[in-house]
Amino acid sequence: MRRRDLLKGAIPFCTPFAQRAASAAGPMKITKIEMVRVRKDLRIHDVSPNWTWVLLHTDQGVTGIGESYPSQDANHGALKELAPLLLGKDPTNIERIWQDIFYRISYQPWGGAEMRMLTAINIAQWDILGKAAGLPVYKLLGGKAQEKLRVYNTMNGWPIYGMRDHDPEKVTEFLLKRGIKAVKIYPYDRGPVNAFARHGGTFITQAELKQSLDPIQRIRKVAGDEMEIALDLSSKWNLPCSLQIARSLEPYGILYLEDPMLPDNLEAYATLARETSIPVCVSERLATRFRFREMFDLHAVDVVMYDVTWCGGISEAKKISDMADTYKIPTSPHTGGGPVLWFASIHTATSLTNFYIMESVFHLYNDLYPHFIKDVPTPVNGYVTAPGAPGLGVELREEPFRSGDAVRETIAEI
Amino acid sequence: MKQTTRRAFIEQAFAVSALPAALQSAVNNSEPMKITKIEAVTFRQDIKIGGGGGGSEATEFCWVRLHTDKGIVGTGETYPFHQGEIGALRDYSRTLTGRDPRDIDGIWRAFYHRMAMRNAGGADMRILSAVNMAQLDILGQASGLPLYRLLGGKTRPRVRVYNTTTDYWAINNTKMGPDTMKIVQFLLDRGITAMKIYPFSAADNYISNQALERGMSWIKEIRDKTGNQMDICVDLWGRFDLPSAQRIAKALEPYNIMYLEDAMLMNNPKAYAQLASETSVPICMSETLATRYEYREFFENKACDVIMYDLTWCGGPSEAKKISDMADTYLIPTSPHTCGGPLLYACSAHLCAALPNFLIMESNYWKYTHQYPRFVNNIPVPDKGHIVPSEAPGIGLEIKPELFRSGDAIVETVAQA
Repeated sequence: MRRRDLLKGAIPFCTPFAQRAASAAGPMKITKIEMVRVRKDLRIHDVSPNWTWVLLHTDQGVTGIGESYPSQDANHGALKELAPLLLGKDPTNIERIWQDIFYRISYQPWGGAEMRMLTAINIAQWDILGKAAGLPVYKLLGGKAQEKLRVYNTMNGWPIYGMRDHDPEKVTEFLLKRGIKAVKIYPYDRGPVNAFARHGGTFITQAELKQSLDPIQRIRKVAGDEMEIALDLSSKWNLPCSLQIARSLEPYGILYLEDPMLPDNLEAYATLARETSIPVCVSERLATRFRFREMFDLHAVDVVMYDVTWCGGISEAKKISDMADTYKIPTSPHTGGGPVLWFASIHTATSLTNFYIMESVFHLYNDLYPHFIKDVPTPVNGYVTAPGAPGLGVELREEPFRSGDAVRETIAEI
Repeated sequence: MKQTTRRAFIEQAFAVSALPAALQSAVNNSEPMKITKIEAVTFRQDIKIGGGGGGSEATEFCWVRLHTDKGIVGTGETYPFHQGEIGALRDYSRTLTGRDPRDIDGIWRAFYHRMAMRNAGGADMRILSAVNMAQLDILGQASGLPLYRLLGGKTRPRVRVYNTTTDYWAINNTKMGPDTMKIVQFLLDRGITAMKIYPFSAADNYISNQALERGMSWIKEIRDKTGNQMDICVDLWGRFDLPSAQRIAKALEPYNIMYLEDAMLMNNPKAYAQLASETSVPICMSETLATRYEYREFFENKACDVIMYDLTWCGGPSEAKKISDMADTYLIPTSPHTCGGPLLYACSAHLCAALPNFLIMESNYWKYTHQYPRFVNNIPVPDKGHIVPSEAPGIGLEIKPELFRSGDAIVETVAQA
């Protein structure tokens, strides 16, 4: 088969509306599983895309796209192992397939690559269901609970037209001009102080505590209270350092303090949450409702964060948020990955009554995603709106496949 | 007292050479050592082992080999999905090449922290476990000591084993149910006085009263015909929900079994705590957990009476030791899972010889009689129901060199410094 035929035969390039004719009622079968990897040495504005796509093809001509990241090689191997659990199955049986794969991977300590692939599969299934039904995914998740989604911009080394996080005044002015009134920064493991680099997360001096406040004070000086500030500590600290950092931040009206410690002991988080008035947010590092349940149970968190391409998928994200709602805890999705994560998070968050604020990264939606995807939703006046096309509404460009920036591989087929 | 440098001490030891060769350190351990090459070893999928193992004929494990600039090669193992694991090894290899493999906790921490950025576990955790095992194998070889010496030395001279009895890894094609007493007698004749069985099955998370009774009939038959000669462990494979788990535990109460393993998935320690508080049957869990962080929550909730882990899944032998040491502070004993490959089994024997809070170790007749000997020469075989770890440095197994000539083993270089 010639390369051109391969591209032509590919369903994902059709517009989502073209697939609407697919029978929503009839049984459907997964006939082929493909993986798309981004060329490893590809750099766009000095940043390398690191996601993996999973394409599920069906006998009804509908194709769904899912995604996870990073660790492309492990994801690739794990998808090969899971493929036999998918071929011939009806992708609209979303709960059954999730449960069957989860049980299968629960015979060993689960997580890692196979949880990321279960997640990507689940997202592709929702895409298929939406296309088969002719509805955008958010309409299948409960409809529009949010007309539009407030976003903050993450400053974690991703540039805005060359500006980076070490220039807080310029970044703040740029964001405010675009109506984006919230920002997430990393003064404790990035920038000029970087206390983490000095002590490995086991200690922080009084001087470093004070110096680390510098970007916060500078943002407040430029923007006053117009800019919300979230702090991400990248799970690099122990409990006493986390407590000290939280105390030093108390006067600054922080949006939330995210991931000071690894979330592998939520009792430690409960201690932190009890001791500080700053809302504590954890964590995209956890997966499944089972892990999040403990966090709620222990009152260890004020704002819940998950990554839709890590946590078990759209189904699991929705379940986690619905459970969080029973504790009056709002949701702030992590989106610092690939484009399908961005689309899937927008659909999921649009359906949530307990939505708080969503991460966005200017460099990703402005420079990186459009290289691969048509019509990427972009924040307007600080808010992003869900696309109305059936499924996720992800329409892949052909160029990256032609140029070899994106590489397709059949993992399994009937 | 006269001060002597470590180097002088080692040089002196070499010069005098009063120690038997096996006890001398193989290298000068005061010098740095580097991981220079990482290899993945997988096996031909169509290997037919034979020996009446029931459904099983082949192997599902894979090995990781860490080469060093000192000529020492350490081998680790994990299973069962080698494609995900070896993919993860490629992803993480940069964390390893050029590092000193004897920096065991430092490498573990860096590896774990990286994977924990996005939900630790799965293939990533299994490959960390294999790497950790290979590092300890290197440390053992470098120091000239069998691994159990580096894990605390011998707390007991020999390690008691039970036999895991399934249709899949069968004893001479026998099946529980029709051949129950034949199997029990086979084991008792060899001095093996404990077995693990899988009597309860159901299509879903609910067990019917008929299925419950069918399963109980195996246990009743063993007790009726051999009294208390045989210790019985029951494994439920995480199959059931809380009410069905409670009904099974209640039915087992009069039979004084050794433990009830993995009644439910490990998704909620409080559900386990409820089960444990309601039954007198010891609750064992679970090789499906990894790292001390996951076990901690079950200890705190009083959710188990016996712990099980799999060295090649839980984060490796060094993590297993930490989990057992923490369990010991709750007076909870350890019963390691070993139904994987030969290195898991042999390495578990080292750890079990050392652990102060050891209960009993898993073994499988088909595996140590037929499967393991296909790959290694000196696998410890139970004698009167006990095994003894190797005295050779490191894990101490002799991997058969012909595997690499016959095409049975497929070696892939994953990274090179």
